[in-house]
Amino acid sequence: MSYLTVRTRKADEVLVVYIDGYLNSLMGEEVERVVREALDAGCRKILLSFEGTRLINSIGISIIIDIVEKIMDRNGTLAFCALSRINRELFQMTGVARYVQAFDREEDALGYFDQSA
Amino acid sequence: MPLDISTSRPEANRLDGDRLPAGRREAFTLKALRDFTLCFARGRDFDESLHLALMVILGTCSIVKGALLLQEDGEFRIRVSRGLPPGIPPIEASKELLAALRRSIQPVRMGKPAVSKGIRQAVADIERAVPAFSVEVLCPLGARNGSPGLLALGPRITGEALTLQQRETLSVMTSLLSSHISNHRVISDIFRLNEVLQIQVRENDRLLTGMQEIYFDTIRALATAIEAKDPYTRGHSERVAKISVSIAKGLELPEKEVQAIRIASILHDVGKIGTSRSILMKPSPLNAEEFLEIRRHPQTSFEILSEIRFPYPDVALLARDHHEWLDGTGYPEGKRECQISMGARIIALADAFDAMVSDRPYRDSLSLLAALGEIRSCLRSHYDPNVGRMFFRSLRTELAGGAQEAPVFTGLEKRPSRADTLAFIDRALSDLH
Repeated sequence: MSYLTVRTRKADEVLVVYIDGYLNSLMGEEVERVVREALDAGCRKILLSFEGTRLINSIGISIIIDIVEKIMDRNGTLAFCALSRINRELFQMTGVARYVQAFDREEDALGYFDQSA
Repeated sequence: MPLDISTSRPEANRLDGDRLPAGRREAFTLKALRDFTLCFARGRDFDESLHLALMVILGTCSIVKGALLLQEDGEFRIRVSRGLPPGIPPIEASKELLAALRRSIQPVRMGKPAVSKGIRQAVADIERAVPAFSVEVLCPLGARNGSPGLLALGPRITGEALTLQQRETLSVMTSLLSSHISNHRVISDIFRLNEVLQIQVRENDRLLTGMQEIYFDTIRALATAIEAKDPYTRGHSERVAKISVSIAKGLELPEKEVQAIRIASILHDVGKIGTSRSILMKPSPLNAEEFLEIRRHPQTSFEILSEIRFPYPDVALLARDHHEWLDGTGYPEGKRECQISMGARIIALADAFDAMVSDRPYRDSLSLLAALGEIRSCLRSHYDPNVGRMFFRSLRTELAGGAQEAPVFTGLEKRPSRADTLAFIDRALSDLH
């Protein structure tokens, strides 16, 4: 079972990326593409929403690590929201968590971006 | 600070920390190993499977950048990479590097002392080719089974060294990856070899078809030569061949024998080349001397055909014996019963039948029913009853409009009503049972 839908919405300066489905295959490179295009277009605030994310595996981690690295390279700000307990533990275990703020709710994350502006 | 997963405060959660439920890391490692093995089956092609494998390794070890290089044409070329720019030039497959790869199957950590010169040089080459890439671990791939590759891994996202568990997992994964690469090379070699063989087989088929065409043309030319001399036999050889082959197939003779019977049927009268035209065309019964001369044609056929190396057995013998009868009253040798091969018995009946229903210089053709009556009356004495049964069955099938691939019996214009003939054949067949 593997499906993935990537939706985006712009909330002021923040690009919110909704990752729905399974982040466990090459389809996940769509998330990388969306983020890369936003960075190329000058956007520096990215919020990944994992509310609809059913599963992240090692391939998904590789994708997220790549995104973290790219945003740090461009001095951007990245935040996560709506993480399940398992995904929270996964980011903790892999070290990704040290570089990203995580929020329960999307509006809390958007508030964080406002403060850091 | 403890991880607060139930917080509803609007500040950020502390994701960082080491306090994970027991067994989480081990479960993650096991799942990663499972993901890794699935890569090989899920990749739509070799490169995609390598790409997926690299992603699993990077994800499992939290590494940002990595490249997989395979040896091709004496150099190591980047086959897949992540986090690196495209267009990285190949690095030299030096003797020192190849020797070092043969010695080591374990991932080599660059920070450690006692890293061999070949490995150090390779890493320096890679880092020179991609300045943004700092290689922390270099994994030898598949050098033991002759298909060397390299997996170059950059630092972890945290900047920390790999844990013991990660190093062991990496070691297992690179070992699996080595096997996958070797298997791919073996399969590619087999496919390449198979393609070469298929081209060869197609070429052989083409040559064989060409040779068969020449062969059949030669046979037909020989048959035409006889018919040119004896116009009354025009088409006779082809008709005898059709009937004989139909009987031979009905008797389920091996394919090679069927082909021998086909050729011998076409050429059975080739010896008539040596018979004078006046005898062949004589509109009245032959005298004793003429009779002797015409009876020599099977032996002449044998002598002509035994000079030819046919790809089928006993063609010349079949032609010689096509006038032999079971009771020993035939010619040229008066062979009996088991001295006469099945093929010759078949041709004898087919030849006699076609001769009966054809016009000859000294007589008109017999009616179909009369010819069938003649054949039937000579079963056991002249003709083999099994051959007769198959002959009647074949004719019956054709007259009844049954499914024969192509018509066997042609030129039977003088046949009486179909119903009478079928009734006659049915009686003959029931006698034979």
